[in-house]
Amino acid sequence: MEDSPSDAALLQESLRESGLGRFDISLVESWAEADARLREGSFEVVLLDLSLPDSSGHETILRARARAPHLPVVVLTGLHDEAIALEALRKGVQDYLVKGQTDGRQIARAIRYAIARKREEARLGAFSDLGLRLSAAQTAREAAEIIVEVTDRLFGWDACKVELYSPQKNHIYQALIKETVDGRRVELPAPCNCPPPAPLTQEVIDHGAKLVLEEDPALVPGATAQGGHARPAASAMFVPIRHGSSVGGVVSIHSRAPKAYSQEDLNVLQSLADQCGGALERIRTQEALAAAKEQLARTNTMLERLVRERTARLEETVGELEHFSYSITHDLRAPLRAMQGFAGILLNELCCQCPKDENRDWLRRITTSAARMDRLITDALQFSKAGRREMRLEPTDAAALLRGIIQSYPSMQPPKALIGLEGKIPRILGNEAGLTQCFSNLLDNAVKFVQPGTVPEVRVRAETREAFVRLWFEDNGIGIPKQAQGKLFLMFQRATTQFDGTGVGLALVKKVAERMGGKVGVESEPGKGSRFWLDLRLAP
Amino acid sequence: MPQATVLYVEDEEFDVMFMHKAFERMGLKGSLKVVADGQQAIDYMAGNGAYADRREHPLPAVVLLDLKLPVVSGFEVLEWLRQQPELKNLPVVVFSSSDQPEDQAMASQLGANDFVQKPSSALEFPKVVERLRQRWMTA
Repeated sequence: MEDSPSDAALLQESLRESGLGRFDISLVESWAEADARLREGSFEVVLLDLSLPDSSGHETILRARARAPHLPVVVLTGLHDEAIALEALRKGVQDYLVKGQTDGRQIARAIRYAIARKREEARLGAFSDLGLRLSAAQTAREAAEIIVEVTDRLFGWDACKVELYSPQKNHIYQALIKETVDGRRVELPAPCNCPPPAPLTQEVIDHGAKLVLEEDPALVPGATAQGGHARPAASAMFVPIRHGSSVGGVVSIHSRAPKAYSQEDLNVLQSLADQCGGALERIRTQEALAAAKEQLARTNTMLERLVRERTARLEETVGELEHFSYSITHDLRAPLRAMQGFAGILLNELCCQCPKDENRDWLRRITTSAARMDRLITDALQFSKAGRREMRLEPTDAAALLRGIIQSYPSMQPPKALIGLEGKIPRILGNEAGLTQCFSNLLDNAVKFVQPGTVPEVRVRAETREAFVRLWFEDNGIGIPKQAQGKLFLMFQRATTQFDGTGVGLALVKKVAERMGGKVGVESEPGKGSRFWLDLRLAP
Repeated sequence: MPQATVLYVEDEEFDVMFMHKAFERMGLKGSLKVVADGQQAIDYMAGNGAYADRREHPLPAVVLLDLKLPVVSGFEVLEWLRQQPELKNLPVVVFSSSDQPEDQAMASQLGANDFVQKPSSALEFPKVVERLRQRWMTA
C-alpha cells in the first residue's frame, strides 16, 4: 500500500535489483482499495505505508491486521518514529522499515523473513491449539475433526483424509474424509465394515511419510464418488500418526494444484501428526475401555437376568418336588395303611374259621408287601430329602456316634453281632444327622448280609489321609461280586434278593457323603466279606 | 359319669373305619365322634347348625386332629381353637403321617398338646387309642 507513485516505482525497482528472487507486487493507493483486494486476492505479505489518503498511522496497522490476520505485515514508511515503530511491532507487525534508510536487499530480506516468521508463528499457534484441543477430545471422531481443521489452517487443501487403525493395524476403525466440491467443504462417506488400509496408506504405515508431486488420479479420496465434481489431485502429502514405534493412523492432504507442498511442509505435517499420536492412543484406549465396560455391563445384566430366571425356575421345581414328596407321604401311604389293616382283620377274624395255612400265608404276604412298599416310599423320600436339606458341617465325634448307633440296635450287639471299633477314630467335619444316616446304613448292611448261621463280625477303623479320614467297615459277610459293585450305590439297585431291603440305603450313603464333601466305596470278593470305606473330612 | 368323647377330624375313610374298630376293640365304642374336614370340626366345637345339640354332639375331652384336610387345614383348626376363650385349653393331639420336623414344630407352636405319627399299618391304631385313653381321657 503506497499512495506515492514515485515511491512505489522506486521500491519495485530496488526489489528487482536486489537479486533475491521475483516479487509479484499488487499496488494499491488507498485503504479502501487495499481492503477490497485483501478480500479477494491471495497474498503472502502486506507491505504497508502508514500514511494513506484515507487512513494513517496506527489506524492503518490495526485495519490491515484485522482484515488479514494470517498475513505478515511489513511497514515501510517515511515516518521515523521509534515509539510508533515499537507500537507497530507490539500490534503484530513483523518489521518496521524507514524509507531512505533501507536498500532493496534489506527490504527483500525483511519481506522473506517476515513471511517465514509469520508462518512459524502460525505453526506454533496451530500446534499449541492442536495439543490443547486434542487433550480435551473424547472420541476418535472428534480428534479426526480437529486434525482435519488444523491441517487446513496450516497448509490449505482440496481434500483431507484421516484414517485411524485398530491396534492390530489390519483394519480402519475410524475414518474422516473431507473434500472441496464447488468451493464448499463436504464430508465424504467413510468406508464401512472396517476395511484394511489401501495399498498406498499401507506403504506409509510401513515406510513413513510420502510426498507426491505428480498428478495422480488415485490420490484424491472420493474422486469417483463425487463423479464429475471432483478433479483429481495433482499433489499430496501422506504422514503416519506415530506413537512410540507404532503407527495408529495416516493423515493425508491433497491439492489440485501441482507441486502445492514442499519437503518442508511434509516435515511440518509429520511433526503435527506426531503431536497427535499420544492423544489418539489415549482416546483409543479410552474408547476401547468404555466399550469393554459397556459390554461387561451388558453381559452382567444378561447373566443376572439369567440367574434370576433360572433361580425362579429352580425354586418352582423344588417347590413342586416338595409338594410332590408331601403328597406322597400323605396320600400314597393312606391306602397302604388300609391294606395292612384289612389284611390284618381278615387274618384275625376270618381265618380263625379257615384252617388253610396257605390262605393265612397269602394274607401275611399282603401285609408284608404293603409294609415293604411303605418302606420303599419312606426310603425314597429320605433320599430325595438328603439332596435338598441344608447340611451344616461341624466337628463331630464319630466314635461316639458309632457307639450310640450300635447301642440302639439289638441286631448290632452280642450275641447277634460283634462290632468292634479299633484304634483311635479322629473327629470328623460332618453333619451329625448325615453321619448317622451313613454309619447306620453301613453297619446295618454289615450285620445283615451274612450266611445264615454265621454271627456277623464287623471291624470299624480309621486311616488318616491328609485332610481326610477313611473309615473302614470290614465284615465277614457274603461279599459282593465284582460286576455288582459298580451299580451298588445307585438308587433301587440291589446286589442280592436273598435279603430284605429296598436298594436305597447305599444310594443314600453316597448322596449324603458327597453332600459332606466325602466319598464312599467298596472292596469285596464273594465269600470273603466286604470292606466298605467312607472318606470324610478331618475336623480342623 | 358320662364317657369322655374324642373328636376325630379325618378325611381318610379307611382311617376312620380302622379308628372305629380300634375304639371298639379297646372297649370305648361310642366315645368316637368323627368329622371329615376342618370346617366341620370348627362347626362341631362352636355348636353351629346341626351340631347345636350337645347331647348328640358333646364337647370332646380331646381332639384327634389330622393335618392334611380338605376346606380348612388342621393347622387352621388349631389356630382357631386357641383363639376361642372357652376352647383354648382343650387338649389337641395332632395325628398325621407327616414325618417332617417342621410340621411337628408348627403344631407345637400353634398349641398342640401331643403329636402322634400315623402308624404305617392300621393294625397299630389300638396303640394310639391306648395312648389317648391314658393321657387325655381320664378325668
